[in-house]
Amino acid sequence: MTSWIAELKEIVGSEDIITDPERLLVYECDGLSIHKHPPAAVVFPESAEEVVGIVKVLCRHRIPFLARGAGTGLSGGAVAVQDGVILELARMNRILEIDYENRLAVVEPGVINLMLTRAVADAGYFYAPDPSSQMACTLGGNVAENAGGPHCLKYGLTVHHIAGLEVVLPNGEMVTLGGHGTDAVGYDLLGLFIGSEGTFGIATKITVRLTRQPQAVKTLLADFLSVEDASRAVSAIIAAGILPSAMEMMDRATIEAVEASVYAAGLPTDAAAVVLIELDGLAASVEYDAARVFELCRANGARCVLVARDEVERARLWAGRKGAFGALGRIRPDLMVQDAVIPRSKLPEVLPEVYRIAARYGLRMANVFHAGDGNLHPNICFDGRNPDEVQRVKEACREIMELCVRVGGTLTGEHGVGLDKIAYMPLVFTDDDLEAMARVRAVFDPEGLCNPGKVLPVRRCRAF
Amino acid sequence: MTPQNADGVERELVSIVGEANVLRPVPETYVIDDRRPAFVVFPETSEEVAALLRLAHARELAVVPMGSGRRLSFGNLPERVDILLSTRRMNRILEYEPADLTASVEAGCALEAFNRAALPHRQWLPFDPPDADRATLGGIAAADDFGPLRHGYGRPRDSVIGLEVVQADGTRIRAGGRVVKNVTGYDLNKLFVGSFGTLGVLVRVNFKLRPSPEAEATILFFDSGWERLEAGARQILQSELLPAALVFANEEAMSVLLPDHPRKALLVRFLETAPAVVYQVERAKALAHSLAVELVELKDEASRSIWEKLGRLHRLLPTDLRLRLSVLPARTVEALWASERALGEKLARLHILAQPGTGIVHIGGGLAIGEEHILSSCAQAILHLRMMWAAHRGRVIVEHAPPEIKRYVDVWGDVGTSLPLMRALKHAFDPKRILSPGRFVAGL
Ligand SMILES: Cc1cc2nc3c(=O)[nH]c(=O)nc-3n(C[C@H](O)[C@H](O)[C@H](O)COP(=O)(O)OP(=O)(O)OC[C@H]3O[C@@H](n4cnc5c(N)ncnc54)[C@H](O)[C@@H]3O)c2cc1C
Repeated sequence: MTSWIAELKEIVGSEDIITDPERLLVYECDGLSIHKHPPAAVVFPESAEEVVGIVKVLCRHRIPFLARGAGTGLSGGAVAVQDGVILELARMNRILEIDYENRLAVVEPGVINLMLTRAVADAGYFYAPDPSSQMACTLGGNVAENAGGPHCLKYGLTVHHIAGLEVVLPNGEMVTLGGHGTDAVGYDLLGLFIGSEGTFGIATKITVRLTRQPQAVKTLLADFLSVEDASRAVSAIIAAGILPSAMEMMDRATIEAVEASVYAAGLPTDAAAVVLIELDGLAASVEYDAARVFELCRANGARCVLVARDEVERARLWAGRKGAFGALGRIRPDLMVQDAVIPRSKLPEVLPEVYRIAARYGLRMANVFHAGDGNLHPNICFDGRNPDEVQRVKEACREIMELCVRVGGTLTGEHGVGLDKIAYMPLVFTDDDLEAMARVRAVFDPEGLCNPGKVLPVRRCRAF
Repeated sequence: MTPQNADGVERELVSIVGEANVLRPVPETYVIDDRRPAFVVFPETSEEVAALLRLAHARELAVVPMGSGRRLSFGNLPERVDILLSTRRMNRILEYEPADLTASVEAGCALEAFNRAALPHRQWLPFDPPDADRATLGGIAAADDFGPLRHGYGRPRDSVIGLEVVQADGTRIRAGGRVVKNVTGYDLNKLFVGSFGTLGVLVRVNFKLRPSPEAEATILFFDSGWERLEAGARQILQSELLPAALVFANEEAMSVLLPDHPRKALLVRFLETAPAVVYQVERAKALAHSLAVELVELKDEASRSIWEKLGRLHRLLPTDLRLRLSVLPARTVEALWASERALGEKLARLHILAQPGTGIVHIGGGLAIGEEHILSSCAQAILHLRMMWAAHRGRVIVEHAPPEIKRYVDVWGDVGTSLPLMRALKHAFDPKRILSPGRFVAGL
């Protein structure tokens, strides 16, 4: 047995390490099946001390490694491209402390996003960032990706809700980032770490901020006969100075898939697009804004605007939205979930063009996305066994990225660069910009062992 | 710099920004702590800033960037200051897309000027740092400078979506972009925001904006002790109400803010839709009644003006020393007490503003400068406060102090386990240490 494996077994016990190639296949990809590569081994640490031990061993042997949460990432971030070792953190899933007075909770990285919200719900709180994958994804993964979600329109991204981190650096040293409820002094390393896609170290403890549940919530569903009208309504609501807590669009292809699935929410299958709009806050504001949203939707061609009558109806609409990727995933063997951002006023101009690109490559596309922030998810249903189709998917994706960048947008709003978007990075950043990023990475990981091959084009990392 | 060197440098500076935009000799107003810069320069474009930094880099001249200069006293004693680089002439709004709620401005653009331009579109940047009337947006970003509105809107850090930065060697880079949601690559915005000009010179800042509130009102609770005011704050924070700002002010502060009511107060600011402001004011009134505290309501302009005054409090009262404590929100009043006890006898007209929602406590007052024993006992008191609060994750930052105190006290306090990373970042971005050397944490 290789000596490092023996050393790792000493730390976690021989049960908690996988090296059998067959069992490793489970870990060959994340939620984006297009990138596959099995790791050399998977270890299951149960504490920060074990993570430190594992990282030190791997460092000494110069073996690349990376953390993995639930593997729901959509950019290939948790793929061990360089035959590295995966530290699977699912077992570090305890909620360590809840402090309502200061609106903080301290958790281990393997805690599932929704579990935290459930744990604090009775006390009247929630954890605001709510990726559609929140039933499965971990808070560690959310920190690494700076995850968003439908309600980020009003509440902000993960980075706005993390108060502190305990991090095992790539050399095995442990540091504290952020003040864990007070302001840290010095450079904002906490902000820098969040969204670093697992390349700056492994978060072993997370202090999150809790948010009070709003007094009132109102959920509306507007349906439209064209995607352009729907986009115009979204832009009009933003321009009117209304800040809904969420504004999500689903196009016909998505609606059909959802309605044919277990997530069926009673969406109108003859609509070209629906927009799910949620308002929350003080009852007085919610009522007032709901009336304005209603008018703006009608003025922009909504065929009808429904209001969820009760919590059951509301939950059903959201289950439809959050199950959309799952529903789309059943249409063809594979699903390419894309992610890009454009200035939101550009929606009416860009969306039709995105469909035209898909049509040109003969691909089946469905759009379901965070319209309020201009965060697109053009999804392509395809068959990964067909190399020609895979090639067309890749080419269409590149064109979509180029289009979004051209109108002032960017490559990813929440899924990260990972493996998937490295090649597009020069579309938005100059060599100097990328070199500055590489310099920051080298500060955290001078040896280049922590999740190598992600985020930055390789030739640039090599320069350091 | 020798006088001969200085003449040579001056010629080069003039060749970059023009005769009219190089100031030498440098007047008193530009002195930083006890250092007088050799030059003040006023570039007009990012190209000029890049040329200035190339020059400084080649000759290893220390550069301190500044906006309006309102925060120049914030920092440790500078090791060296050769060139003070003012962004005053870089004050344009470069792009403003009301439909996107985003804007891009030059670093020297004034907060007030921007908000005036955004007003017709019913949008704003919800920042209210001290001296907001003079603040530049680059300065706000560089210092991540906030005021009471942080409670409702977060810190400037949370609103910055993109930057253009001139690095120490003069190369320009961009971070982020112009969209409100962006995880493309590492978020270098976070690195530069709050770095106080020690890693690069911000020349352009992109922000996301907020719709401006339709209505506004401020409720003040008054009492002779803190207990009931604290209970009031706690009840508001645990209720459905959504105040934009929440501040305790002591008698001294109130004597300026509302001279008819020189008593301890809790100020609560509501910025919302009109019906929601009405609702919240009613709720706050009922709360005041149940707590048996006195209440004053300020509407619209009166409300705006008391907050604007609060941002200038340190100009309205003697403020030779100003500290900022950051504690866990539930301990705000405890921290307020502790700092009052620690400094009450040493500072004249001690004024306190404390935010129970964020745990930020500001304390300021006048000092008998020149009296060595008072200065050293003040320094002792600061160190003692710092030590006491470190046990509760609290921090004590010296925002403003005479050099005599800065000689005894590191203004930032202990950084913790991440200091080696910060040192390495400084080295990676400014290896020759030409950008505000000595001023940041641990003298970086
Ligand atoms: C159906 C579906 C819907 C989704 N909806 C959304 C959405 O609305 N918004 C959104 O933002 N994302 C969404 N995602 C993407 C994904 O769920 C998020 O990126 C999530 O944050 C990943 O969490 P994870 O635990 O699965 O991480 P993984 O996929 O396991 O890992 C992701 C990255 O994080 C790193 N990492 C994991 N844990 C740690 C740690 N403790 N320390 C350091 N690095 C770590 C890994 O190395 C990897 O690079 C969706 C995905 C799916 C499948």
